[in-house]
Amino acid sequence: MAQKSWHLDRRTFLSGIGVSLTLPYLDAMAESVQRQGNKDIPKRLCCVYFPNGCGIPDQRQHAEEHQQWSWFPMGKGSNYTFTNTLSVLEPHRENISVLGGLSHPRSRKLLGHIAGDSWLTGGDISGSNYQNNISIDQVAARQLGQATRYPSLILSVDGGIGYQSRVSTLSFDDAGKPIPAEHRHREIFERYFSPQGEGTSKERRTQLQRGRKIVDLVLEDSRRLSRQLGKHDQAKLDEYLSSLNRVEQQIQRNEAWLDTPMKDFSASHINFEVDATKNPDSYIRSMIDIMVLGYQTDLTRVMTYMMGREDGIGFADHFPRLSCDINQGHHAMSHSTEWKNWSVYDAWLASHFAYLLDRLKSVTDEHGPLLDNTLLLYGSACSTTHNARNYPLVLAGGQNLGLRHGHYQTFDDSIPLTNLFVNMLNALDVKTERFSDSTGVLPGNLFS
Amino acid sequence: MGCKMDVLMKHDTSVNCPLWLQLTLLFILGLFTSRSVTAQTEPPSFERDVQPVLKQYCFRCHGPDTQEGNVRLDVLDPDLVKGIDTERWHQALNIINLGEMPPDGEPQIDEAKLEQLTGWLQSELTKAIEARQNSHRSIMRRLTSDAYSNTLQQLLEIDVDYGNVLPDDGKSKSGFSNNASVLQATQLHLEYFEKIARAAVDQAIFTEKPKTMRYRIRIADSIGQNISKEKSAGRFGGYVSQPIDPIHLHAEVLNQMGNPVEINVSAESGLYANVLHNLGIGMRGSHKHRYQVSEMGILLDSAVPHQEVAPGSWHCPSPNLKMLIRRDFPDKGNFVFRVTAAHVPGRVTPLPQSYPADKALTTITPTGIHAPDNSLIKRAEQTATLQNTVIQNGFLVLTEPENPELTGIASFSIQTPEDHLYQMEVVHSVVAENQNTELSVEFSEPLLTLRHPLQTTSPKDPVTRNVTPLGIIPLSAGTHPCTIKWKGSAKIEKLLLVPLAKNHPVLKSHIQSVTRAKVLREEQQNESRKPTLQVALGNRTDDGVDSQTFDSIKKMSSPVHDDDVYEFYGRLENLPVPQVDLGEQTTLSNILVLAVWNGDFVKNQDDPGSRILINQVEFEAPYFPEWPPRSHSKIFFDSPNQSNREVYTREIITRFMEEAFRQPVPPETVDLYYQFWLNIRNDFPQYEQGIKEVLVAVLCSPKFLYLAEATSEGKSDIQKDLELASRLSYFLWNHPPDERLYTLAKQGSLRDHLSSEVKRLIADPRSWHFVRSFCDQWLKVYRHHEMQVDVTEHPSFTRFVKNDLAEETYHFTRHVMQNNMSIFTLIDSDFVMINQNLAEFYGIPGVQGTDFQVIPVSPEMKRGGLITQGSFLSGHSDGNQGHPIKRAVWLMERILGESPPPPPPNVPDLDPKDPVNQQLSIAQQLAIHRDSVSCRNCHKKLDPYGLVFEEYNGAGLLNPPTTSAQDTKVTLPTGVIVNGVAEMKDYIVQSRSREFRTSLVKHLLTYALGRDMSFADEKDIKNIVETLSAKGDRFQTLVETLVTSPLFLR
Repeated sequence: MAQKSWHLDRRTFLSGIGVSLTLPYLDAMAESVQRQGNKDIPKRLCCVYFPNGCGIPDQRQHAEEHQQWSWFPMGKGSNYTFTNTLSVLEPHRENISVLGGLSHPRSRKLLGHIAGDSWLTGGDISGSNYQNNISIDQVAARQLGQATRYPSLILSVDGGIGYQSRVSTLSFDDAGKPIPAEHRHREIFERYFSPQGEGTSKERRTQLQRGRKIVDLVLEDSRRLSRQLGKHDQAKLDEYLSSLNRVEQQIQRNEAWLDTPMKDFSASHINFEVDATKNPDSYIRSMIDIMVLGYQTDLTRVMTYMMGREDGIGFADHFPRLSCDINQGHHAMSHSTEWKNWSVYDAWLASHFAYLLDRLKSVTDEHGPLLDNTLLLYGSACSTTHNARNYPLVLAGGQNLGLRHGHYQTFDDSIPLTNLFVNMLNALDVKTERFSDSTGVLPGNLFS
Repeated sequence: MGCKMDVLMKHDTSVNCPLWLQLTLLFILGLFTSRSVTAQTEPPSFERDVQPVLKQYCFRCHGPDTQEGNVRLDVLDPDLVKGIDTERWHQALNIINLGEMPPDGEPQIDEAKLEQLTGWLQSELTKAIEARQNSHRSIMRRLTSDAYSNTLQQLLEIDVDYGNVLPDDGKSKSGFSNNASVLQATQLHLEYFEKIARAAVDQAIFTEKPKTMRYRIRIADSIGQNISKEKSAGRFGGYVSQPIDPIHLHAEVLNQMGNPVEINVSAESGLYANVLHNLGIGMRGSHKHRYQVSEMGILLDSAVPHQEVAPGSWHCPSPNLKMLIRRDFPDKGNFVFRVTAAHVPGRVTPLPQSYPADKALTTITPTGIHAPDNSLIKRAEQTATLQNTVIQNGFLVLTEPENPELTGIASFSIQTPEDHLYQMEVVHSVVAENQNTELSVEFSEPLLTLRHPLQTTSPKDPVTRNVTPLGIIPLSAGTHPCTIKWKGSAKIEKLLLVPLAKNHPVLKSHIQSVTRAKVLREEQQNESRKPTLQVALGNRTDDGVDSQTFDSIKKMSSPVHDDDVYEFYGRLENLPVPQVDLGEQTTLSNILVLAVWNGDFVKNQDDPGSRILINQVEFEAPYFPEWPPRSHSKIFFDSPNQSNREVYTREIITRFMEEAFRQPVPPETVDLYYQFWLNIRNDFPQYEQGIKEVLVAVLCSPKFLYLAEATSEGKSDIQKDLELASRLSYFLWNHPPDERLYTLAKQGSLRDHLSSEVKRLIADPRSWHFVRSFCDQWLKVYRHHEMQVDVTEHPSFTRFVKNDLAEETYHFTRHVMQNNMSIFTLIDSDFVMINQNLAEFYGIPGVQGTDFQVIPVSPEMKRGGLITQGSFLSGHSDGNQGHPIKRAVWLMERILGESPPPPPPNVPDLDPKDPVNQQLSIAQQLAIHRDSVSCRNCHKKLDPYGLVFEEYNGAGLLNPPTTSAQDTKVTLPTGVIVNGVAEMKDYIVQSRSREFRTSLVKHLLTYALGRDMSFADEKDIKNIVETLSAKGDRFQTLVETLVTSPLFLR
């Protein structure tokens, strides 16, 4: 086990050049996994969102533009062809599936921007009250997170939670409340990747110790109680005690992480000094690099990343001007009929997803390319302007999780998007029969 | 048994065979017979006596190949005493005894074999009952999430809905979520229990008094006129917002005493920097003619409930006044919202301002324009002023017709000879089809605008003009200036005002409105309407407000014009308080909304209802009526030992544990927790923090989380009585016992006082918890809560109606219980418990106010009893029409206590997309479904119980009499013909009283004991049912009999 902690001179990366670490590869994590007797390969989830839907010129009124600039490919099944918009994903064809026609039924009547609040939840935010529910990533994190340092990383361009109906995070907790997203690249790096982040871990250690002491006390008291009980009551109490044991085991696992040094890695390629208001390209890439690093070091197995907020809120709205030389904000673009502009920007967004796939494919851990054990969902919560149906969606990766890619599949309105989520969770070994308003699983054999 | 064996044997011996063999056989038979005589005392054998019968008669339909009704007999464990299938055998025995199985048309079991079979089952069951008498009964059960909330609330004296973050409790086979079998304690639960406990003790215990924020906004015309800019209130704009201009507001920060404090507006940071700009009033979602700023305050008419159609569902009723607070508000603690308001005379009813016009009254032919007599005509030349417009050949023409931005404006002045309704029409050039030109006419007196696209279809050539009817308006006699506006190439020739003919339908309905308005006005003069105040708290979203009402509706009973301060209390943790994100800069973020409206609802925008005047709103949080709060001083109570930390801590822990565990706690257990404190006390800088840690542990203990139901060895009588006290109070209150119950238990006299205690508990307001919880589970009212009624189809089904429908069931049931009425009142009553809101929804006249009241009903109203209540009818619908199957299953299971056959596997739902189905009502679809052979048997038993409800739609309302598919005449499986719900009620009360009584007893027992009833309880159930019947079927008799039965007492 590596005893040497990962060190990074603060000034070195402040300079933006970063450092290359050449420490020998000793897999503390693998050892720790073995300690827990769990030799399964890590299964991962990643959800990436873009706001304001996508350009889909009307097939009848704008036939030519439709062929060129529609977000969805032409043709169906395995013989589809990408339009200009998603052609950047062509090299990954075998690792992705384009999904059309899916949406959250309870959000269909809503303005597309609001539907963004329910992209990963399928929650009911249409009724008299805003009743969102837990997001798919947090369901996955509950289980996948038991084996990692952190249950999940929640990222967005804007950070925070925004406000109801225009959130700036994709993730929602058990009670359906938004979980604040993080967006300051260097802070994320320092906090999560540096064992030097003593403040955090000290606090965490105290917290865990307190939890453990309480569990010990309650266990002791319960055991005494158990001796007084009849047979049937004992069975009932055993259920409680075994759950309490699991709580204790989880505390121990969490404590063990505090003593486990980070897996060695190189962060030299990451540029933390990018100014998003000048160079959105590098800005997003740097976040993606952090994400890949997170998977590589098995820091966490669950991440969400929101590449911009709905309705022109937040500075991602200016990215088209800064990066694509388009004289329109993203939201304004989604209201105009300048199909080419919208498509060019959609392609720009997709190029970052393509970059994420590239990286996950080329970076390996002891189980092979990260991509093969990572399930990715890329998309938005409306299609054309404010239309909260037919979400643009790409499902990618997860070859080892039983995914059969290479197709453009469409579904009709009777299939809620959450059916896909049920498939996804089960592919991640998170046994699930229902998620939110799901009615089953997706038809077809995308998941074997 | 031996006797039957003999018969068999004799038969066997009569076989033809050689004598030696016969003799041998006789010898063997002799042995056998003598053996079979001794076998009389032994139990019959399953393999020999029972299984062959089952195989012959039952397995074909309930065996390996087919499982009719989901029943499979060949795999049941024949050991009834220790096995797991005893309940299934019990059901099988019941069905066979009832003669239902084998069904008609199948070979019937002969007498002897039948007796063999049922005899064996009966004797094995008796053994099983004896064996389980002591062991199978209640096991300890976890508190349900509601009971957990109530318990923690009482313990800590904090009203937070602690349980609502817990995973939903499951439901048992019989639909009850308080069953020990479904109340799990998973890892997730335990993690939650710790998390909730930590938050709860943090809320209860204070090391210092938190800073209270207290804001006041006064509202009156121009009250803010002389306030400097930096001290003025804020203006909260945004998409379709209706901010009240800060000129009419005076915002202040108050100190603890309620006096205004000086704000240092120049301070760059800090809590109160710029706070005044972050306070404001908004009227979003309100119709502008329903509110008005006056010298005395802001006037609000009766509110019209908003429809539950997204995105408008995120509004409050119209009009509503919202106090808006940005950023500087706490998200935890108690708060108070104070509204200073008065009841004022209602506004004069406005009449509809305009009506759409059906068709033009003016005609155009090649010979000219033909307007009706008395028409008032304004030609282009008669315009008073023009803008962007010239007159060409008698037409008004835009100066730049190609410019899409340019609006032509022309003003007229029209003299009307009399008060009348006029149809306004415009004669113009022919407009091309693709040119969508809209023309508007604005009147200043009355202030209104008519707007209509110009006619594009051309009449016959060669006419080059067309006429567009714009609308119908009421105008008084006199001069009416008006302005027309339009864009594009259309040319305007004439404006016509045509007085409506006497028989015109619009004129007729207008006169009706005028008359109605007059009546309303007279009513208002009598002040007959009673305005109320209702409040909600929420957070601003882009499209409205996500809000939840809190506290109760307050009646305004002071004399007209007299101001009163109405205080509304709430707990921030229970309400949708915005999660503040200080990085968020957008104008709509981080806004706390406190809304208030006049809850004397009216149905439409033309009806002003009653009127209130609000001149001040105030928000205070966290709110402490006393310091330190009860939650704190209850834990850190006054004690002579307070100065001795160790002794005092032991006292604190003992006291808290005894209340939390609902038991005296032995010193050695206290010791365990006390040692823990000694261990950790130095980890914390403050004494209170160490105590918190101990209390968290107490709240995670199974002794707190579980109700001890067990009668285990070695318990003292007092312990048993304390457990009984808990059982009783969680049954009738869903709440821990109070002081008196504890005292009685400790004195050992609880068992002597059960009867009076039952009465006391029922009379206590805490019995509401029981009523709500029991109704939700027994009557499945939760289905009503979960149902999404199609509000476009049923527009009167607002959230307030939905809420009140559930309340109706609770109030009705509680009324029957409180007044110790007959349990059959639940089936049929000559009264309903409704308020004005529901009365208007149901169409029952003469009910006023928000209180639920006893209202007598006549048979034609078709209301009375649980089975005509909207909560059941809408909860068992498809959201639009009634659903006969759901209703039938409910009636059979919940009311008659029968278990309808489960649907066979793989039967698809009625497909709503099937084009055939789209044409048919659900009842008609069922009729088709019933015709198919495989479905007929089950549905014949089921459907009639649902079809009797066909008169009631998916919202629970009566269908209009003209609707087809109103056939409510059904033939029940028993052959009885019942027509409609009224006859169904009679049928239940008269012919099925035993079934209903038994069903209610069983359901109540299931709830009271927290477990499903089984074969072992049959005898006790029967006793309760008989006692109840003999004593006259009163509700409280039922509860008392149940509580004093051995099942409850053990």
